[in-house]
Amino acid sequence: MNVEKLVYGLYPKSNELRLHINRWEKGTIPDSSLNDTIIDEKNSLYKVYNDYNIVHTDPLFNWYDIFRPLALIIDNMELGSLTRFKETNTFYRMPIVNEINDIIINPAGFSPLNEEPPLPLYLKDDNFNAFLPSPLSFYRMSQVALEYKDFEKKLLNIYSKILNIFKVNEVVLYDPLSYDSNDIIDITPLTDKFIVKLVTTGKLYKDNIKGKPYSIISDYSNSNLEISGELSRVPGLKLIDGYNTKMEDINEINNIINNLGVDNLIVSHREYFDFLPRIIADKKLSLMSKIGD
Amino acid sequence: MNNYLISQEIGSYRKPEKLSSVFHKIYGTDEFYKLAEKATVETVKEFERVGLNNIGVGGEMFRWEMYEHQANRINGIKFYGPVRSFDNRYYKKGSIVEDMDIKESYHSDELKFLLSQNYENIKVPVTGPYTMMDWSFNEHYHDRYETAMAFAELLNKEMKDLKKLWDAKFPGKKLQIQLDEPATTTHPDEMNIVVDSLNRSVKNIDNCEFSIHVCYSSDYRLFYDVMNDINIDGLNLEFANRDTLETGIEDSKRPGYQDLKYFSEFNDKKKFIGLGVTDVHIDYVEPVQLIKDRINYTLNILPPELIRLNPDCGLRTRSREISYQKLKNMDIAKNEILKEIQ
Repeated sequence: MNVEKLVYGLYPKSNELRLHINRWEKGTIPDSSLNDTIIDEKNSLYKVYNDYNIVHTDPLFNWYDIFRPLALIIDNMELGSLTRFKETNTFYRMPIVNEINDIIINPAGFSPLNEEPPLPLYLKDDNFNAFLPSPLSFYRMSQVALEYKDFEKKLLNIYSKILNIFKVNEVVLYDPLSYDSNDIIDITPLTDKFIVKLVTTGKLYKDNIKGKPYSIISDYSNSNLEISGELSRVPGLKLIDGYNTKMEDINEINNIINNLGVDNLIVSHREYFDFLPRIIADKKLSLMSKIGD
Repeated sequence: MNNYLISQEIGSYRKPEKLSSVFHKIYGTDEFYKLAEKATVETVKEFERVGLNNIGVGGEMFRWEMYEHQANRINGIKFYGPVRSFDNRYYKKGSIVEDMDIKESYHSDELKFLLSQNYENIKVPVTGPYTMMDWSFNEHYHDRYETAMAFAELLNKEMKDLKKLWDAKFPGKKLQIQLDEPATTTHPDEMNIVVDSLNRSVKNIDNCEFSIHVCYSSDYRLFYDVMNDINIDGLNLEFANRDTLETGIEDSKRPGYQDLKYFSEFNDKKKFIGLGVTDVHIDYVEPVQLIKDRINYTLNILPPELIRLNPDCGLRTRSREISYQKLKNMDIAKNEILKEIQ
C-alpha cells in the first residue's frame, strides 16, 4: 500500500520565533530581520519534513490565522473582531467581506502588512502543497455581504490566481467546520486545474462535494472512508490528533491502515498542529514518519 | 432596600506596576507576599472610595490568571509549553497525565490575608470545573464528563477548606464564592456536564452563597435553560459589551439586555443577576445616564432585590484610572436610582 503522510496548516512556532515576533511587534527589529528569521525557521522545518518523507504545506509562521493575510491582500475584504475558534481561549480575526474583487497586494512580494508579519504568503520547497481555507468555512467564519455561490466562485478565482503566481500545482483546502447534509461545496474551478486535497471535519455526506478532488481527507469512520473513496481518487484519513498532547500508538495506526483494504491512502491529522505546544507537535511529526513502515 | 442593587466587582483588577513588573520573578517569596498584600489593600481602598458593596478579593493581586493559577496547584497536570491564543499571544495549557489531586490550596493564602484585615464583604472567585476541563488537554481520563467531574471534586475540597478558614473568623456568616466559567456555553451539547460538575463542586458546602460568572457567551439561553437544575444562587454576567452606547430604555437601545426577559421567564428559583453595566474591553467611560438606562431597563424586567451591579468581567484589561471612573459612574448611577425608587 502507498501511504502519503500530509501535514497541513499552521504549525506552532519555536520559542525563538515567538520572541523575535514580539520584538518586531514592539518595533525593535525591522521587517527584513523578521522575514529572514521566518525563512530560516521554515527551511529548518522543511528539512525535518523531508527527512521524515512528509508532504506538507507551508507552516504559515507569518499567518496570524488561516484567513488573515488573505483578508489583507484581497480588495474589499477587511479585518473584523477577534472571534472564538474551536477553543474558548483561541481566536481569529473574523474577515468582513463586502465584495471580492481582485488581489491588491502581490502575495509573493515582501510586503509588511497591518498587524501581520510580512508576506510572501508561502515559501516553496520540493514536497510543497499550498494551503488555503475552503470557501465554505471561509464563508461561515466571516461576515459576508454575498450569497454563498457568488462568494465561492469569486474566491476560487482568487485562489487560482494565487496558485498561478506561486506556480504551485498542489493545494490543501481546509474545512475546519463540519458539513450539514445539505451543504454543497463546488470546487470544480480548482480541481480542473490543480491537484486538490480537501481536508474535511466531521461526518461526510455523499452530496457535500462537487468537482472530484485528488483526495478527501476526513475524520476516521467507515462511512467517511467510503465516501472519500467514491468522491476522490485517493482516500484520506485523519489519524493523528492535533488537538491533544496524548501520543498515538503507532502500532494501532499501522493496524488500522493495514486493515482498510485500499491501495493508496493519505494519512493526516485532526486540526492543524498550532493547537499544540511545539515540542508535542514535533513528536507527532516523528511518529507520523513511522506510519506505513 | 439594603439588598437592592448590590454593587460588586467581578474579579481581576490591573496590578500596580511595582507588582506586575516582578510578579513572576519573585512569585512565592516573602517579597511577593508583601507586594501582593500591599496591592490588595490599595485596591480595596479604591473599591471603598468608589462605594462598592462587595470588594471581591481586592482585584486578585495574588493571582496572575485564572487557569494556570489553579492548574499549577494540582498534581497530575503537566505543562509542555505555551499554546497560541491569537496573533503572537500565548497561554499555558496543561495536560492531564494522571489522576489529579490538590498539591496546595488554590486561594487559602489570599483568603487568610483578607480575613487578617477583617474584610467581611468579600466574594472569592474560583475557576469552575467545566472551564478547567475545557482548557486542559486530557491524556488520562475517559472523557470530558469524567474530567470535569474530577476537577469538580478538587474544587469541592478547596472550597470546603476556604469555608473552614471563613467560619473560624466569621462563624454563622455566609461566605460568597463565585465560580468563573467562561467556557460554559461553548459546547451546547455539553450542558449536562456543566450542570453535573457545578453541582458536584458545591455539594455539601453549607452556608455559602454561590454565584457563577459567565462572559462573552454566544448564547446565554443555553445556560438559562438549565440554571434551575444548578445549586447556585445567582449569575454574574457580561451584558454591556453586547449593548449600544446610546441612551434610552427602549428595546432598540438596549439589545444587550433583552435576553433578560428570557431569563426572567425561566427564573423559577429566583436567582439573582449580576448585571454587567460597563464594558471592560473599551476605555470609553460609560456616562451615568447610560448606566442608569441599562439598570432601569432591567428594573422593568426584574425586581431590584434580584439585581446586582458589576462590570462585565474583571477589569484588569483597563488602566486603574479608567477602571476607577467606570466603577464610580456605576456607583453614582446606582445611588441615583435608589433615590428614585424610594
